[in-house]
Amino acid sequence: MPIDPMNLRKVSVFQNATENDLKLISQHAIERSVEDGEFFFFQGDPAEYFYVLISGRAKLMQTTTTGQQVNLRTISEWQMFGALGAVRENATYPATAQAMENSTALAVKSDYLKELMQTRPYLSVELMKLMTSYIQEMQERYRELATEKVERRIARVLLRLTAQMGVKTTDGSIELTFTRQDLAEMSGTTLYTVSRVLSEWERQGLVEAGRERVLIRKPHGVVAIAEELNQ
Amino acid sequence: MLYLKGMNTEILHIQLTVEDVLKNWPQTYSVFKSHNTDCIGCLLQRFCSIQEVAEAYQISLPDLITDLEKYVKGINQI
Repeated sequence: MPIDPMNLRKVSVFQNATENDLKLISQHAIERSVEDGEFFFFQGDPAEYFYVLISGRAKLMQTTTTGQQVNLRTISEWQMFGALGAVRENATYPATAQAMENSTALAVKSDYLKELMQTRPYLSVELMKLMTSYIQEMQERYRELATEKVERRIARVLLRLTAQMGVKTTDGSIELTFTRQDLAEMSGTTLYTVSRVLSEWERQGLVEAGRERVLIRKPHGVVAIAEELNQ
Repeated sequence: MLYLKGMNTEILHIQLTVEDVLKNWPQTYSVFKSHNTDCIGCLLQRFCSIQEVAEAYQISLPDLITDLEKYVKGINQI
């Protein structure tokens, strides 16, 4: 189903684009639908296309030599990803993009974006803004990893996820559908550590942790751990 | 639970979330601050009701409602 080119203005990099530019970009876009758990591209593939997610949700992740996966970021609708090829020669994707639900994205040749950038300075500026926001976020996460206790990191990730996807239940708890593996990847720790920490929180009555779901019984307790508040 | 219903005022309802209150009456941030809550900037604002804030921080619910009401009615301006 063709999209209205004007919708591309929801993409931060294209927010200042002219109508004509948006039309040009959409004319060069191929729509790609990927089922839940399938992939848009793999780490190490030539970065020939950049993507704009138009529906669903995806994650960017890297795999270590020992096979452990690290979740770098979650991509929501109208976010751009995999744009490295537009700014670097012979680039390969530094991460794998996997759909977290049935998702559709527009794929545009990186070379085309590179071509547009030659005559449209706004594109370079907006891409720089996007990159600096990524760097800032990574610096923050690096600081968290380097200095914060693992329990606090898990609590912060859990809060972020809750803010995005939590559903309040009738008894006042907050329900979250997420696997322990996802939580481990996003907190930069192991499945074993996540299970140990969740069991301890369960013992304290803060959460109830199932296989693919976490029920936060005492939200304030989790906030207190994440923010190191005096309880 | 019935006695709690009596605490609802014309404008405020104890089931309103912190997010609702702050969005509608941003000046109430100082009430949350003065009661030493950590609600300002909390990621869970949309989940916590006024009643739950009172419970979590062991604040008197009537006091919290009264203070919020003053700001909502514009009695206390910043």
